This record gives sequence, structure tokens and C-alpha cells, in this order.
Amino acid sequence: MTVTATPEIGMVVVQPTAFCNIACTYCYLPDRSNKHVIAQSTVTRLFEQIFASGWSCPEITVIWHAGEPLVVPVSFYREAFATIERMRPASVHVKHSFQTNGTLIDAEWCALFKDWSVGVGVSLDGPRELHDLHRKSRSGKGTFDKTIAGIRSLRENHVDFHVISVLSHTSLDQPEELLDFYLSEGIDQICFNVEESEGDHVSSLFHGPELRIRYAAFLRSFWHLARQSGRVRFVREIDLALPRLFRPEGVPARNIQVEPLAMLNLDSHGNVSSFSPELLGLKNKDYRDFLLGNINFQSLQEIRDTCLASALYRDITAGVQACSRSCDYFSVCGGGAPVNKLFENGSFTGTETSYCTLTQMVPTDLILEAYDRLAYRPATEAPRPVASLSPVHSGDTAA
Amino acid sequence: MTHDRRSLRALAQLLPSGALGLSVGLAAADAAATTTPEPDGGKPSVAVRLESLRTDVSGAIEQYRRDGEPFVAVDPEQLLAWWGNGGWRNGGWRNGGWGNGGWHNGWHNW
Repeated sequence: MTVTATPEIGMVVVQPTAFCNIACTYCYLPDRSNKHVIAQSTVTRLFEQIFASGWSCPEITVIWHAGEPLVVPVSFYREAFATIERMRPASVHVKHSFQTNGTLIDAEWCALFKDWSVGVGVSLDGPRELHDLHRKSRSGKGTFDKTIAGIRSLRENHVDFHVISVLSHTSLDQPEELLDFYLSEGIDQICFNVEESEGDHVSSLFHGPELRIRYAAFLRSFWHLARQSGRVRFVREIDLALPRLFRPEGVPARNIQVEPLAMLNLDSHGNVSSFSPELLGLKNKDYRDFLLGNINFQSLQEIRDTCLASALYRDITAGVQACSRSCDYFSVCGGGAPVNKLFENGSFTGTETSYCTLTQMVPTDLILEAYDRLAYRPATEAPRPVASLSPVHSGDTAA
Repeated sequence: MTHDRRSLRALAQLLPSGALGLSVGLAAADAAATTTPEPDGGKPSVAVRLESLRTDVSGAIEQYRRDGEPFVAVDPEQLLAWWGNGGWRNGGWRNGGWGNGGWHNGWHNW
């Protein structure tokens, strides 16, 4: 791992509150009933420090994330965004994004999203029978109706969004049904996560020996069908792997989960961590709860010094170095996800995880295989021209 | 396993269309394949294949620099967006970019 002389902060993950208004069965967040909300002064202090440090990338993505960020009022974000905008150096662009369960989205939220060109990701596991299996309200009812109502509000208000779907045993067998559903709801930017073991949650799916084969079959089928439909703009698992594979010699691939402060993660009390954001809020004696300081009381320089001297950084670095020595996929991955190494292997210093298999190896294998087929197809057969995408209309279904 | 000139030509046709174009082209080739690819045992390692792919990309770019074909109709800025200015940015091509690192090698939960 190359440690840059100065940090390059490109992604800031802010937990405005740990509280979530629903209770998904696979949730790994330990503090999701705590209703504490971050103070405006903490947000201000964070961005004062970031901008004064000179460590920000030309574009910083601020992700307002877990618990459920939309339980905090719209007015909070309008004030916070305006404050950040006032402090922002002209050379730095700030893009705000929310990852939400979608149940609280209404016209007022959509107005905020549009006013500030906010990126919106909605957690939606597919049609009702799949979504409601795990994504439940605090009283145990399915949340599908409220999430879909939120998505329809986004569409009515012309707000761009993507969905993240957690794949379960059942959904892995249903790529075609999932695509039909997305298209019927006007969803054309799609991301998949496979149910993971993290924190206190142990996935029943994650460690099965057949998972790699099943997931590869699912992803390949979904990719083909989505592209054949001509109505899907974005299949994250493939489309974000492509630039990492198809790059010129000598161009490095970064892994911001293993670079100190490349991801800066802040909880509602001002506590700061880096590396995998899921580490924030977890308890661990050996690593001081994965915390590097508190932005209300320390400077970013002090936090960085703490980071570089920490056992956390030492062990994550050892794990990356081990990956570089042993893994065929290192040139596209850059050393894995520390949180998954810890929860799957029991240590940051290890290497391959099931998460690596699913997020790096499977997409890479699929793309390499497709490239071989492209390269060896008969010379008379030209690559298929890229069709312009048809707009997605509600009520449409996949062919 | 450096591919021959045919692969370079195929790649050169697809690269200018960005990630979406590559995604469409590769999916179509994969879905339409009538021959079974070589068994894994006969292939070089994944690391070697990835290195070879980067060699192919460099070759396609060099071909463009040399004779302007087949990238002739492509805005150079569009190509730059793939790799960023002087460094690898995973964004650039999607909604104006998702920042350094992007999702895929950064974090999957947003």
C-alpha cells in the first residue's frame, strides 16, 4: 500500500443519527434505537477542518448514512448544506448523497434533493415478497408499500436515484423477475449486495460453498438481460468494475477503504473513524472501538497522527500487503474491505473473504470471460453497436 | 495472453463508448457466444489476464494516437473521463462522477 504524503479525502460518511425508523432483520448496526442527532456545530467543525487541511480532493462526496438519515428534518440539511457551501473553497466541489430506506421520502425531501443535486440511493430488495422478507418496520410489518411510495415520489418529482438490493437465498434464483420488477417501477440504476455477516449479524447465505457459483450465475444472467432490455442505465457490479479492469498500463487503482482518511467517517457525537465506515459504532478493546478522535476536540492533523500510529492502521496495512503477495485480483481490488476481513477472518491482517469473492472476483471473472469471447469472435462479426437507451416508463416490463 | 490485433480492434471500437458501451458490448458478446471458452486449466492466471487486458487498452490508445482510428469521432474529453487527469478516478463517467475511489473499490453500502 502506498501512503500518500498527505491524505486525499474524497468521501465523507456522516451519521446524522444512529436511529433508524425500521428494523431490518439483517441489520448489523448496533445503536439503531439511539435518537441522538448530530449538532450543526459538529458538521461545521468537520468541514472547517477538512477545508483548512488542504487534504480534500477536488470533489468530495458527502454520504449522509446510517441509521436512517431522513428521520432528521429537511431543515437540518438545508442549514448544513448552506453552511458547507459558504465555507467551501472554490477549488473543491461538494456532492451530497443520501442512502435511505425510502419510507419517508415526500415532495419536501424531493425539493431538497433537486435544489442541491443530491444523489439518492434507496434500499429496496425487489418486489414485495422479497423486500418484506427482511425489511420490516419496528412492529414487524413489511415496509414495501412505504418504500415504493417514496420511489414513486422521486420519479414524480424527477429526482435521479439508484437502488441497492440485498440478495437473499430466494432472490439469487430470480434475476429475470427482479429485472421485470425494476423496469415496472421505473428503476434503471441498480446495485446488488449479498447479505453479509457483519457486527452481530451472521448471514445464513454468506458462507455457503455454492454461493460463488450461484451469485455468478445470477449476476451474469441479470447483466445480459438488463443490457438486452436497453432500458437499464447502470448495473453497478459490472459497470463500476469495467473501468478498473479496462485501464491502461501504469494507471493505479485506488482502494479508499485502506488509505488513512481517504474515507472520513463521523458519528452523531463527532467521533471520527476511517477505513470501512461500518467500523464506526462497533466496540473493540484492541482497537479502541476503531475511533481515531473526536472532531469537536481535535484537529484533523491530530486525528491523522493518531491514525498513522494506530494498531488499526498497522494491521490493515499488513492485510493489504498480504493481499498484494497472494491474490490474483489485487490489481483491481487493492487490498479488500477491512471490516469484512475482521468479521469473516477474525483479523485485519488476513486476505481473501467471501465479500472479496462476490464484489471483486465474480465480476472480474465474468468480464474477463466476456472479453475473451469478444476478442475471439469471428472477424466478420463486429462488436454490437451501443444502442441508445430507451426511457423507462412506469408499467413497462422487461421483454 | 495478449490478444491479437482483432481484439485490439474490438476494444478500440468499444472503449470510446465508455462504461455503458463496454457493458453492452461485452454482455452481447458473452450472451451470443457459440463457442465454449478455453477451460480454466488452459488459461493463464487471472493476474496475467488482467495485465494483458491493460496492455490491450494501452495498445488501443496508442493506435488512436497513431492514426486517429477508430476513435476519430470521439471527444478526447470523453476518453479522459475514463481515467481522470493524471490519476485513476473511478467516477467521471457517471452523473459527473462519484468522487475519488467511487463505490466499487470504496464502499458498497450507498
